Amino acid sequence: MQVRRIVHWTIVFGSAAAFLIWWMNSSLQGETENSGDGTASIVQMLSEEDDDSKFAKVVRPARISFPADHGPHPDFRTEWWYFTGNLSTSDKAHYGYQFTIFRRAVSADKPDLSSDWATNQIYMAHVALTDVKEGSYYSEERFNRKALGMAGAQSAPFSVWLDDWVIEGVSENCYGCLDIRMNIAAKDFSLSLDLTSLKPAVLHGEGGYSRKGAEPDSASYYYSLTRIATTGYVMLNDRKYSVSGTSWMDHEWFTSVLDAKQVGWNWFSVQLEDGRDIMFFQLRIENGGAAESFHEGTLVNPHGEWIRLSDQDVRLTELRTWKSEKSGSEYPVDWKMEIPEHNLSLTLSAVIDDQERIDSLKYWEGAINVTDQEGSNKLVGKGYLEMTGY
Amino acid sequence: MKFLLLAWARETFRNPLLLLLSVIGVALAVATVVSVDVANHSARSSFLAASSDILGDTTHRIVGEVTDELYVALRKNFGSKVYPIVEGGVIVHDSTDVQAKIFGTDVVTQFGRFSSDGTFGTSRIGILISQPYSVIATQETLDSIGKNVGDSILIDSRGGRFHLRVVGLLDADTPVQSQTFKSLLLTDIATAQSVLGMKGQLSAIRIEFSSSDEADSHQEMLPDSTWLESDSNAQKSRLSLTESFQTNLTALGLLALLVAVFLVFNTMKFLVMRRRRMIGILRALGVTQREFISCVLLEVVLIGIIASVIGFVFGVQLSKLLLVLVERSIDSLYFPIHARGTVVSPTAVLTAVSLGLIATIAATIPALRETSQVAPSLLTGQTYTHVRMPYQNKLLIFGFVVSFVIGIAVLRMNPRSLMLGFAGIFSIVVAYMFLVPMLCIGIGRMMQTISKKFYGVRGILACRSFSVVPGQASIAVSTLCLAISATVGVGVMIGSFRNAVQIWLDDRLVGDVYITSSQRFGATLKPQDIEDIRQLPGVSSVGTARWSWLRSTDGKSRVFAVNYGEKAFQGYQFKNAAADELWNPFRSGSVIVSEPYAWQQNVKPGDVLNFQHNGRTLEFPVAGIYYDYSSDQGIVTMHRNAYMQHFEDESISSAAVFMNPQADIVEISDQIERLIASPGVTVWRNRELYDASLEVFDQTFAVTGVLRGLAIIVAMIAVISVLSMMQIERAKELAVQLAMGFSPREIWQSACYETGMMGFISGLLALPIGVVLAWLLIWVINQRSFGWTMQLQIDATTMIEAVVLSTIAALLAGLLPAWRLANRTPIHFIRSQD
Repeated sequence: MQVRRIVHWTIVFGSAAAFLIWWMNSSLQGETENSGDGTASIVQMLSEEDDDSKFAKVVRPARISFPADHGPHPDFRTEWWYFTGNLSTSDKAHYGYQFTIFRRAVSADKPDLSSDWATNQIYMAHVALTDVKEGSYYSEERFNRKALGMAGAQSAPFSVWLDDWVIEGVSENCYGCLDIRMNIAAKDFSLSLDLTSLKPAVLHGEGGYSRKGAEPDSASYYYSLTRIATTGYVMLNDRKYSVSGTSWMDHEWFTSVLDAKQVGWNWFSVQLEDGRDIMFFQLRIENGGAAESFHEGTLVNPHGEWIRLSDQDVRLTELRTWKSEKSGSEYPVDWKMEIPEHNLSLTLSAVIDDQERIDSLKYWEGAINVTDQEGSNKLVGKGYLEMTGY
Repeated sequence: MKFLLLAWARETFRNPLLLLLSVIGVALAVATVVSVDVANHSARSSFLAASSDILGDTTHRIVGEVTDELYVALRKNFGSKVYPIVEGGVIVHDSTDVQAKIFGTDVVTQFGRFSSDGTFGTSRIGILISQPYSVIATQETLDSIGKNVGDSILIDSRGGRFHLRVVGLLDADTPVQSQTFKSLLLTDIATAQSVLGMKGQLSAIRIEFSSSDEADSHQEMLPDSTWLESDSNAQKSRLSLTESFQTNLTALGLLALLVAVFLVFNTMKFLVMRRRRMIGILRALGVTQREFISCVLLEVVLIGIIASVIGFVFGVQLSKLLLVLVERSIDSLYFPIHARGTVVSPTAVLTAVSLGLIATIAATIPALRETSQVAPSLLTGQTYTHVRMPYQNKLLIFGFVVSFVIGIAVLRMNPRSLMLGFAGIFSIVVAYMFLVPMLCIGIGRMMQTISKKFYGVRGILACRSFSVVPGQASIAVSTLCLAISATVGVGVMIGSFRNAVQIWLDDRLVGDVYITSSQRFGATLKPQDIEDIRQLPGVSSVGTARWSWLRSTDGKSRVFAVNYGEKAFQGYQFKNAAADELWNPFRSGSVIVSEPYAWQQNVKPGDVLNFQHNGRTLEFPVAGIYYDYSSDQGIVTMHRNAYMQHFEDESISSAAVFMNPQADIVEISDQIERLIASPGVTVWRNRELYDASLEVFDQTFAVTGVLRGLAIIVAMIAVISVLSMMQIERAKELAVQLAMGFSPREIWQSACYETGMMGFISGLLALPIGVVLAWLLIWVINQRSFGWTMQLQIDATTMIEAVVLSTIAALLAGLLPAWRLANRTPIHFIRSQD
């Protein structure tokens, strides 16, 4: 009897309280929903940018000449200057770095406004540092526009900059060679590096005309400095490390690259201790494989002479994947690269798995160790791997 | 021990409703306190996040003649820690000539993002850069000007006439956000500069420094024509404003807490009292004091834990409701803040635990002591009336004197400390509560005499419970009285405040039409416009005023320079003298300061204020202190002639238009509106300004209503439990009444009469302390938190309302116990032996 009364009253009061809570919750939902983010979000925009037809196109090989082509090509929609490198301290601590400046034209012509801020050229910079010993990866992103000298690029003297992140250089005597100073102070670290190219510029594809798809304009102009001696300092956690190593520079400009079905690419740069360098990329199509899509590669010998690697020359096999907890994407971080004709069978493995950057663009860009076989500790080279569209 | 526990549990579950009531009572007390705490904390964290509205976190703004070059130089040094802003008002044509604000920022650095389709670039927002004269706005803004995405808007601005194209929607997630973005056309800085004719110029640069030292070291780096304004300074002063507001809120919460503690105390006392007979038997059987204390503690701890958990969950829910109201107040008073959801602070958890558990246990101790000290024979016997009444009265008087003296001492200790102010007020309120049982007897006896006339014996019987001894009834009366006094105090305070604001508005709004220019739109009035208005038929005179900031050695002061004539000056009410006496000194260069200013800066009439200008120090004697509720930061008012003479600033921020008695105000104000239509300039008719001001006021105090309601609900629960308790205590008495031939209906009526009487007495007793509370809130809390004071305005309606509310609350609370009482047969009571 007593128990029944307790149950009875508990139900009465319990349901009254539950109703009250439910009511308050539901009546307040409108007020508190979506309250997590204070920044303005843009939900609906009209047409985006000008279509590609108004821009210059990459449809045929062109004569690439230096120093002019080190500078910007504002008639093309997109352009980037890519620096990656592997650096070591005297006690063998290994650092990988990436510094990229992207240029993007949001319209073919500069808008007609009286303000000095008016421009159609947007710049973005990505910098990253991999601390192999600590297993840490740092990255930062910045944007600015080509206006008031805040961001820009020029060929002579060579310079690409965004705010105080600056690459400045002078051209050397050999073809496309550069002598560069790089100064970047990011939030978590800084880089202060001197770079001197050891080999002349390498023009990928057909003399720099690098095809990415079946359409003739699915292509870019693309050259690299594949071996750049690098010395300088890495500042990290309030400590300054004297470093030296080898960097790689890519410069690429284009208007449209990917075909509709292509979702991204895998790009490899390898610098072998025997003096040879390898660039290889494969474009990836939707639902997986890269096999049916475009491949392109270049092998550079110790003297700076290069040959193209055809589809058949290079066999790539995924050895191990890593799943990012942050993005959920799964990246193949260890690879086997075979180029039988040149007697190469290389194992490429990420120095640390998590070198994924997630800011405006999500991609994996990281330092790799190169060994002559799987599981071997014997380094035969180092390099960088970029994976996009995962 | 096992049997003891079993016996105890049986007794506990014998009356489940009472068990539930005790849980609910404690839970409600916990909920009230937790909800206020959580709401306050959440509002605070929303507020702290509010500075990062559109542009992320910055600590300072650089204002003055800010140029592109300065920004570029700073950007090189500070990277992403600086943002440029170009803003200004425009008039939208086509529809109704509404005003809008162009807000230009560097969309590349602010919103630079990649699109998801794999190509890179700032594509979605890129359209603001690639397409000249493109803007985005919220749907609400577009609706107000009758436009859609894709439409073109014709606007007039300082830069000329332009067609802007709406290229997208700005998403406002919250009502507050949509308020922030209201009438705002967001665009890239290039478009903003071009449209506003500000090539090379910026309105401000926002900048983030990691420390104030860093800011100081960069102050010198800036060109002379620019200066650094600290957001954090502004934020700090805003923070102290919201703190004042929140302290007032906390005060209400604490009043509810006081009621809640009463309730907990009462509930626990009851739990023990109910067991008197059982304890007596157990003690007689040889159960030790220790054993039964552990039984009580076990029960109390269990109740405490369960109630704390329920109360906490309920409190957090309740806080969401409060938060909306708090934010609305802060929003209308100070600045927009975002509802960021509730933040449960560690203090909230601590409060819940300490109130729910510790207070519950502590509240049990007196009752425990009482029962454990009494001989078993007394406990098992009949209701033992409190034989120690004279002793108890002495104790109560002693309590009153001590609390009162402490209260007064604390109030006088530091005349500026808000916390001490509250502590003192609570002491005084508690002191009064010591008097309530005795006052209750006094009034109860009077009531008994009156009741006797109307209801005879039943009337006497109904009043007996509170006319004879300070027993259970007086606890119920005190609890209710406390809750009602809080509502009276706050009600009278708000009423007085509203009244003061009304009088102040009446006195000061002597102009027929007011023209204001919004700094948000960077607008000022042109002298030519004022001249044109003066020429309008029906206008007798126009007074102009300038809002400005003056720098003194220890900060900045808000200065209001007016050239109103003597008539408008009469609208000022001074603390120290009549307006007539101060008119001449004012005209010849003395200043008058608002009451909050005098309070904050510690200024007295006769003091001299120093302001810096162009390297010189200028001295202004203070003639008087006037009442003002427009700004809690304080205002220095000076004559426009003196202002222009010293500061060479001829701009006009606002104007008051005086008309001939027979003039048509509506028509002239329309004419004025047409004459001076420009961005950020608003024309108000006297009445509109008056209504708008009071609307803000009412909105601000909406939240207090909810808390008053809460306090009353807690008190009602207290009354229910007390009445249930009394019902058991007086079972025998009722049995006799039934046996004597009273019908259940009559018993029910008399029970209702009794509770109604209790409510009425509580209400009556709440009035004096309520007025004292209001007086203290005005002269201690308002003075200490805002610097302003006002006349105490006792409104008869508030008083009558309080008594009626109290009576109804008690009647409602008494319904259930009365009904249960009336539905028992005499045999039931007699059998129950209790």
